Amino acid sequence: MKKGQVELLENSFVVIMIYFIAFIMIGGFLANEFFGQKKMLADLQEKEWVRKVNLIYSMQEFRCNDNSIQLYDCFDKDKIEAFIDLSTSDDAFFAYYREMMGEMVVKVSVFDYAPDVDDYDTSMDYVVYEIGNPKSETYREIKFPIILRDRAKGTNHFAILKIGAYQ
Amino acid sequence: MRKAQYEIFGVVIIIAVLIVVGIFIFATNIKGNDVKSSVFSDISQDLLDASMNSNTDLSFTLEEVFSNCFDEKRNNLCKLKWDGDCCEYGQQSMQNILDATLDTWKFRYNLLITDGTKELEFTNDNRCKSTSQKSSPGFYLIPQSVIVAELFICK
Repeated sequence: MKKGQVELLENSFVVIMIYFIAFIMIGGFLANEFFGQKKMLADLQEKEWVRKVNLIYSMQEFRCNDNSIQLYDCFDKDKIEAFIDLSTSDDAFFAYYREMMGEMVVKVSVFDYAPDVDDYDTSMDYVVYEIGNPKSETYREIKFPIILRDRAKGTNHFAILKIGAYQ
Repeated sequence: MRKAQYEIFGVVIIIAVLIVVGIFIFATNIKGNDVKSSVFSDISQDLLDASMNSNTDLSFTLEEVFSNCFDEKRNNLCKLKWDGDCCEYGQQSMQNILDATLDTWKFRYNLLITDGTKELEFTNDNRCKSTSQKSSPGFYLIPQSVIVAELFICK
């Protein structure tokens, strides 16, 4: 092989190498952009979902208060019952919360954990708010252990708060 | 330096520059975008607070049931309204709570209730006992008897 051919071969190899590296870098960059955007969208949806859940979890309308101080993870049974009554009887009340909460599901159910309980008492299971289709693919729910306080009887019940929201 | 050496040197520089640029682009794009879902972080604390402060059907709160359990003299108080002692009642009640919540929600957990001498332990995965992979600790102190409940949810 002549010297000129060797140089041509060397130069060709160098050019191929540069193209190869550039190709890998551009491909990696585009893939990263694509997945990065998807991740960003998922994060935004996650944040929106968290915002909705936090909105419900901290609503004064359901929480226990002691001399104006909001008690941590305690929900007031009477306030919840009053909210349900008003939202079924008062259209303006329902419209106000419909606009604020949007499509969501909020349920509270008391769990009787006593060792000898055979039949669960469902008289304290509440559908507080339910708008939307829970079978939707974008529906996602979370459950919290809470105290459900019965002020009239002065008792606390262990309960599960279920908050479902659409992403 | 010969011409061939210059060429190789040039190629090395080009590749080095491309690698540096590539690393920079990836480093700026790969960021910790994880949303810290604060809603999940307090579940263990919520569970302890809600369960311990709830009233049982024995006219005690669950906190008082465990307080009685750790006191030999008061352990039999639960027998007035139930077949077993307070330790049995507390253990079965707490197990029911954990089964209905963390176990159902597919969380691995380890709950230890102790006064330093006696221990009650609840877990659905023995690997969760080790200090690694633990997150979201919940603590509850029963002051009368200095009993500490410590609930770990494992990742």
